[in-house]
Amino acid sequence: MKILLVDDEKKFVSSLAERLTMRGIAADWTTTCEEALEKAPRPEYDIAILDVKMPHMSGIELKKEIEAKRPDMQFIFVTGHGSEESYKAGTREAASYIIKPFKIDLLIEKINELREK
Amino acid sequence: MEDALATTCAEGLAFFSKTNRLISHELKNILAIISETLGLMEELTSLANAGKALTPGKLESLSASIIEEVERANTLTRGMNTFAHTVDELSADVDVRQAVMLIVQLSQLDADIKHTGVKVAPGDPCRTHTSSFFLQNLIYSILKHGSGEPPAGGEKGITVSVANAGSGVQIAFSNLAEGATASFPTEKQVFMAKMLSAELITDSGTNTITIALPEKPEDRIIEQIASPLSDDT
Repeated sequence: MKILLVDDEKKFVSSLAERLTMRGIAADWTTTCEEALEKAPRPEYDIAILDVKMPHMSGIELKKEIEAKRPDMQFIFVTGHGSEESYKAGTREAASYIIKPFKIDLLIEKINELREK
Repeated sequence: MEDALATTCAEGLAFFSKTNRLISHELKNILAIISETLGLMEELTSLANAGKALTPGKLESLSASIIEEVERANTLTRGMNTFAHTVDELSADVDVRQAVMLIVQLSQLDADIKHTGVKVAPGDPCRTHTSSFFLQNLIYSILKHGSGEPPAGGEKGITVSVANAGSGVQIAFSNLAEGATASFPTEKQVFMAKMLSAELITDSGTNTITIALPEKPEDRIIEQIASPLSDDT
């Protein structure tokens, strides 16, 4: 099992991937939706963690495009937006929605919930 | 006149609110980076305590990253503070170049505008009597409107040029997204330009939009917005 992290903040996404890997969860990352769409169809990825707000394409649009290629992919949204509107959009589209900044233990808990499904 | 005044106040509040949302979102991103970087340092320290070799260069790089993010947050909050002060005096003698620089900096917090890229061409200071706050609202609207892919063969990234023109000031936006001039101006942009007594000039041949500001606005609508009540007893 491998996680694909997609967020336009390189420092955030690379540090998070490194921390997950150190805790035994294989994780890869990208800062662009284009690269995410190229990587996501590969069978090693099971969970995609997407930033809701990214340049060029929103995380919600990206999720729909990934799902078209990988209907079995599971998703977690992360966002800096704490608005009710953003929360509703995120929870409608994915099982989990986490607001930045967050503790890594919370993310791992959400990953484990999806693994057990 | 009352309807126009109410619309002006609503537009102003909406723009202030939008800008604050963009800034708070960016600050949360910065906090998330600092949080993850500190978390990574903590993990590395735990591994070092367990006997794994710790590379000093890695810690130096992570520390430098935190310092950069603190500076980024500091620059952002300075911009936020300057922007908040633009409503202190809704009509005044304004350094238009400074106003452009500030809203260009803040507009980069919008994902579409950031992806497109915006630069301000160098030039001399340009001053006129206008509303810095509502001018920045119009500039932001044009940057958002003009964001996207340029026409085939065009250079990507909007260029904003500020220049004295007669007794007024002109702000020109070039290298706009394909179709931007055809769909310009919107009803909202026309309203905002009227509020500033500004003329909007569209040149589809050069793919350029220009705001021509007069020396002093003729429309006194901005002056009709009341000052906030004082907290003093």
